[in-house]
Amino acid sequence: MFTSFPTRLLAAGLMLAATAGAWALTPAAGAPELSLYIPGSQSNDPAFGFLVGNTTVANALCVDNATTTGAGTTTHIYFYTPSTADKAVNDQYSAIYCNTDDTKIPGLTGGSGAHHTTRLWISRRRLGASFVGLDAVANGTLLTYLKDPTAAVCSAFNGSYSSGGSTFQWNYSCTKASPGITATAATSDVTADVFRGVDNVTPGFADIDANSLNNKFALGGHIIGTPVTLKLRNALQYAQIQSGSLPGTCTVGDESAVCVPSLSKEILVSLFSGTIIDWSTLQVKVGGVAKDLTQVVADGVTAGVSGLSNPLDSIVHICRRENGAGQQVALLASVLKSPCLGGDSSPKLVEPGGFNDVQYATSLGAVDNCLKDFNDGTNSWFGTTNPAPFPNPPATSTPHGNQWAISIQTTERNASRGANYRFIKIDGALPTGEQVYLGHYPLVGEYALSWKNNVSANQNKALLALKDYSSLPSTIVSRNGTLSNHSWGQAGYIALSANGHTPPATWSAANPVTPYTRSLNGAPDACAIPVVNPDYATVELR
Amino acid sequence: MKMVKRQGYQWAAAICLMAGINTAQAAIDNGAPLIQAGGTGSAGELFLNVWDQAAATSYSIDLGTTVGDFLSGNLSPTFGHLDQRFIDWAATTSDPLIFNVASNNSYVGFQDPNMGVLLSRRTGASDPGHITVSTLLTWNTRVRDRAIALNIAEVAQNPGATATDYAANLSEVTTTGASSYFGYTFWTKTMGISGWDGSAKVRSSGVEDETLDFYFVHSPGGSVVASTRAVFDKLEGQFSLDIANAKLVWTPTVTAVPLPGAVWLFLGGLVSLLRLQKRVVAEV
Repeated sequence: MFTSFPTRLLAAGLMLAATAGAWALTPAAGAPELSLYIPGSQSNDPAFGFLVGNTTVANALCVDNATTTGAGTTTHIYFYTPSTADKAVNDQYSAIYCNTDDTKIPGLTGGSGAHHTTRLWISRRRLGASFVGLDAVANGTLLTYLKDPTAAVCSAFNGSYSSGGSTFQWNYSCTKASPGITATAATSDVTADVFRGVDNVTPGFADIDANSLNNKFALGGHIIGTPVTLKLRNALQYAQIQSGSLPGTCTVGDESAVCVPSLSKEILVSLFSGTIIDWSTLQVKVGGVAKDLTQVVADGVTAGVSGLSNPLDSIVHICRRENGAGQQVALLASVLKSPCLGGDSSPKLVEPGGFNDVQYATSLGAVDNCLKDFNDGTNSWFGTTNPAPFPNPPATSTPHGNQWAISIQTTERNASRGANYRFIKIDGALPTGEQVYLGHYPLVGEYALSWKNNVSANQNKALLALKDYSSLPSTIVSRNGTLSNHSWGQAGYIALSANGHTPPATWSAANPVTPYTRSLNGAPDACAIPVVNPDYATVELR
Repeated sequence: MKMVKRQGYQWAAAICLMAGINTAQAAIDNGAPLIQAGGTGSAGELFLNVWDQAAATSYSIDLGTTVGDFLSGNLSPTFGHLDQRFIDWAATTSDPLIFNVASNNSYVGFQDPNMGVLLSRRTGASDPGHITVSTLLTWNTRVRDRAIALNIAEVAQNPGATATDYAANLSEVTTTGASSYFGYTFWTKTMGISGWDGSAKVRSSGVEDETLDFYFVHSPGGSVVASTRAVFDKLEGQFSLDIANAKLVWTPTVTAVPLPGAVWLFLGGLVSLLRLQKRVVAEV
């Protein structure tokens, strides 16, 4: 007796479902045919195809996008966990295992089928951030990674975790990172040429010799901010309303673009080099009378202005990053012009032991928590430990909270305002793509991909494909989503005209290409003052 | 600015008594409170830098003596004796050579009068201006950073050495591109300090060799605030570089030691007392 058609269809469907596992790349699917070990900053992570907010915003090399359930795709995401499967995170080791082919990697050889379908293992390492990645490539330093889907000892687990307003999803939790692996390429928040001088180099390591890197490409502009604790933001906001620097229509706590307070580049340099050690150094003219910032706030508190409070102390608290952290390197190069000015003209970045309070926050999450603790008096970062040789945060018993602190942070965080810190303007310019495009906002790191010629032919082709894809304005646009969409505007990333992309005659969020370039002489130069790219020779006057 | 006698005098005695000065370690201790390989704060050591600018090479060596030992005159008989690497390097160099000497000692904190830097300054250079303790902290980091860079090069050039290896006084010869090179952007003749005339020239086409004065620029100690002025103590002596004998020579300036006022008062009082006693006896 024949079964009915719907029954046969159902049976066929079940059979297909049963074989779907054979299509998907899992640890059981066989060893990778092409592996890329890429240490360094997270600045280009979305382009690898990682899930952010349940979505793949970009995907340079994999045939499929990953899914939160791991079903219906050959692409899977692997996170490392030092404990249980549900505790996996991507701030140390992560990987993507997927199929790639010559539609993704032009010229790919080997593999199977007409398009050379190849099992690709992309192993990322964020530990040590930009400098460690560049050192691994430039100096051949062997590092620890998730070696492959089998050696990494992975189990299927569809998880999700949140950090800095972002949620990250994964499909496999892995418990073993293997040492002694050679890096294929490095990602960095800034191009390799500026990772020199003690402030920009991990203690105990030598400068990066950018000339040793055969291939070094700036992929895009990463807009970095100088966030301050919420109560300091409110204090600056109130003071600048009182002085007339901000419109009188602004009120304390207003999150709109026009009401974001500003510090000058020179004041920022003074703060980060330690010549301003106390917030009372900042003088404000109110009603024709000069008062220091703390006095202005005290007057506001007396007047009952909502959102203001007298700080616990007026010392400048700084949540700085560790030496060689890319976003800090970007601040040094773009704002402090260090080591760019060279010699005794380059300011030194502040360190502990002076008259201000300088603390080390050694990750993006630590910056969030450092600022939060100084503002709220919480213990998310106080009482924790830092990797050697950086001094630990203060003990939880140290009086803290309601203190005014400043730091360095990617504008891809805290758009949701979940943490009590806020970004400010520099010289009156917001950290938005538009203000970078106009040449007004200075703190932009050109994040980069660098490698040597000692990689295999297929690895080289994969890296070139990754570079090309990551640099596209369309890729940049896809990255500029809610993560960096703040109340005052769209921050995040901007494409570079130096990569051959034509900037719009006037600003277009849909085609965010800056007409300014730091690659006037054909190679990225983080120390260069951006100038209008002569290849296009148009720039919006505003 | 005041002159300080290096050996056997009041300042040295005071320095000896002060807490926080350790005995010498063999590799360069950068003297910083934090972020140095192998420790979290101990006395900084002196190091010598010599530059053949024309050939773009430089030589440096850990002198194996701490700031405290130097200030108290506790120098080993072999202080300043350079190694075979210097002899080999110097034999290949062109004229002139430029040298300077420095050490950092910031680990004790700015409230301590031992917090400061030892810096050479060309003999005959104008007196240095004044700086605040806040600025001194940046000078500390410049010298510390130089020590860090030298240690990195030492590890690379001395097989078996590590960043925490204090078993030998290490040296290195480097060239452009290395952070340990004398001409590296953060060191050079100014020792990374804007306007500091820190280096002397020797073996310069018949011109008399220059020498180096030596300054201890330090915190006055106590209740120091950012705007407190740092103290410039010019040590009594000079450095010269004896290339032929591979020695960095410290020559103390020997001058008559004036008796302090208290001694004169004491002696005066003693004489008066004796006279008075004589008079009293006579009256009886």
